Amino acid sequence: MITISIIAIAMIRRESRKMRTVIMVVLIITIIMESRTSIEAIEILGGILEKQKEKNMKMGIYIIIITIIIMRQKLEEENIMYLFTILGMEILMSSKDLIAGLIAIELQSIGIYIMNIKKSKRAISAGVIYYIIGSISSVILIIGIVVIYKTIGVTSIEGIRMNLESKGMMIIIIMSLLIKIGAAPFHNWVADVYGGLTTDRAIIISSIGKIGIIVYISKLIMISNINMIIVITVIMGAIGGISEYRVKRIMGYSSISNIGWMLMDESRIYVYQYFISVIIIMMNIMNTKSSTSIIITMFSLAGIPPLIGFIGKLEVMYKMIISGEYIMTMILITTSVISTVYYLRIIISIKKGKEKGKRTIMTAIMTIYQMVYIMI
Amino acid sequence: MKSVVNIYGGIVIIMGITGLAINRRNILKIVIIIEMIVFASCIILIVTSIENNDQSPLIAAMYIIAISGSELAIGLTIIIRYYRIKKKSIN
Repeated sequence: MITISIIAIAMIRRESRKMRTVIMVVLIITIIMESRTSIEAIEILGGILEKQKEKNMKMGIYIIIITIIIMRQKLEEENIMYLFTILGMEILMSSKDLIAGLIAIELQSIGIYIMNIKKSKRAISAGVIYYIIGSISSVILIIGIVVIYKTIGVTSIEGIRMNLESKGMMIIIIMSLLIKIGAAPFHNWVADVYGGLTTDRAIIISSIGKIGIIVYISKLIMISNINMIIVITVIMGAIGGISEYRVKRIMGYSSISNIGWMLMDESRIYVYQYFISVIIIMMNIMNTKSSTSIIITMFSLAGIPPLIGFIGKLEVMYKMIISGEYIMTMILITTSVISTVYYLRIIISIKKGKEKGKRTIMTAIMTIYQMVYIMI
Repeated sequence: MKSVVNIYGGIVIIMGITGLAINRRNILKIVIIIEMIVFASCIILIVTSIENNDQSPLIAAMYIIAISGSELAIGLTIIIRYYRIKKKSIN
């Protein structure tokens, strides 16, 4: 059904825009319905895909809503690529085999590569950087799959968990995934790509490109231990952002430090609040420019108590202290305080100017959601 | 004979990784090196399937070839676009 409607969209000509919108809405609804209810597809793909869980589905629906918001602004052929990336993300979140994971990662990132092709010089340079980084990481993933198959003889995640003798074998695969999300030893590309691309593409890379891989990496982390990488990631994200003066580059470094937290403990509230905050800030940069919304979101990212960001950090730390990792908790708290510097600098420079922006309903709703979360 | 092919694939992969480390100027060279590594790992997968009497790495090799082909096509598109906008060499 999905493929048929994608082909139908591709065949419709440029003149009939209304028809294409209708088909796109139908396609989104079928993606929601199919991934929830279709039993036959689960039986066919049962070897490589898990059954859809409720928590994965919530995140998928959330991303689809955001996509509709972005799609409202202009309707072009690129929107088909949005749908491809969403499909890849959902397959990636539910895959339980290394080869299915490889196919899903390629599906989502090929859509992003195509969307990055733009006419301005800065944007096309950032697109080329993102393409090179993505293809190198996928090649390393292929090498990792070959090494693991050569030594063990299986590619499913449960089989690896049963048969793996030494933990060092998985480090190649985990390294390729860390390159893709921009964790610390491989973080140099993040600020350039975030600063270079247009803002709506930066939303796509920071949300759809990272959620699926974080959920997929949390299945593999149980096999090997990456505490050292988390420490380097958090420190580099906190220190690197201090010397930056453009908001989008600062958001890049903020994403590095937040990814350290998400790798530490992948709790749903933390992932939700981070991506909501990023989307609010990027939408404010793009068109609405409302200063109160930016200020509240920055306080939330810094972790000031009544807001939702505080609750996410509280949950992560609570789980870490229960499991007895005191040193990691202290490192995370310290770096979080350091990274407050660049959030507060943005707030200061906003308060010096006057408010000129307009308020739209969508940013208002999302900001209020951050404030009122504790009552719900 | 099979072990010879295995060693050959390993040598090509190591050559590719050193190439990625050395070469940082030319985008086309990076794309070519990536394809080289992909096909060397496909050779290793196919030889392993003959050794183990197992069909699944053959299917995996087919998937990998198709994926890398599509990725290469899009990469060349991006590079041509970059060349037209920048009006310089690809370096």
